[in-house]
Amino acid sequence: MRTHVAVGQSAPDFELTDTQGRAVRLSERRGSQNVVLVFTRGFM
Amino acid sequence: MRQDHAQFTARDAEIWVIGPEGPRQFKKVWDEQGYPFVGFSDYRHTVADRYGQEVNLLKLGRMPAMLVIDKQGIIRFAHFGDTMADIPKNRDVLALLDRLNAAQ
Repeated sequence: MRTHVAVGQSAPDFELTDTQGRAVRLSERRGSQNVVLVFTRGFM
Repeated sequence: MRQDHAQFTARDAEIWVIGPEGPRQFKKVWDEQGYPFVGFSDYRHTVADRYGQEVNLLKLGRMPAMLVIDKQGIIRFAHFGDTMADIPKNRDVLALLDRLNAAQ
């Protein structure tokens, strides 16, 4: 069992590169967008 | 979620999908499937591990997880699946977004 983030806490910020090659940072959405974060098991 | 994507967009929600494949493999599948979401390869698992995505080696890998983060950057919903099919229903997530938007 892993340690999960919890409801009510500030979402840990991160930056990843999207499929279009753009670096995207979660905190850039603050004030404008809700974000639904989906972690997949993988496509393969 | 694809069929309900417009309903998420109408609620000021972006869907970010994070997968464990390498960037090339992830993009290949992404382009083939034509997903309308924002997709990210997290092949080092840094974000998945930071958020606590479950790994079950007996069930061949990573379990699905879903979180809703509001416009203030606060986690308002978190679901960590314990089977491959353990995924929240879209209607429940959309209802939560309605409540969040009404309160924001």
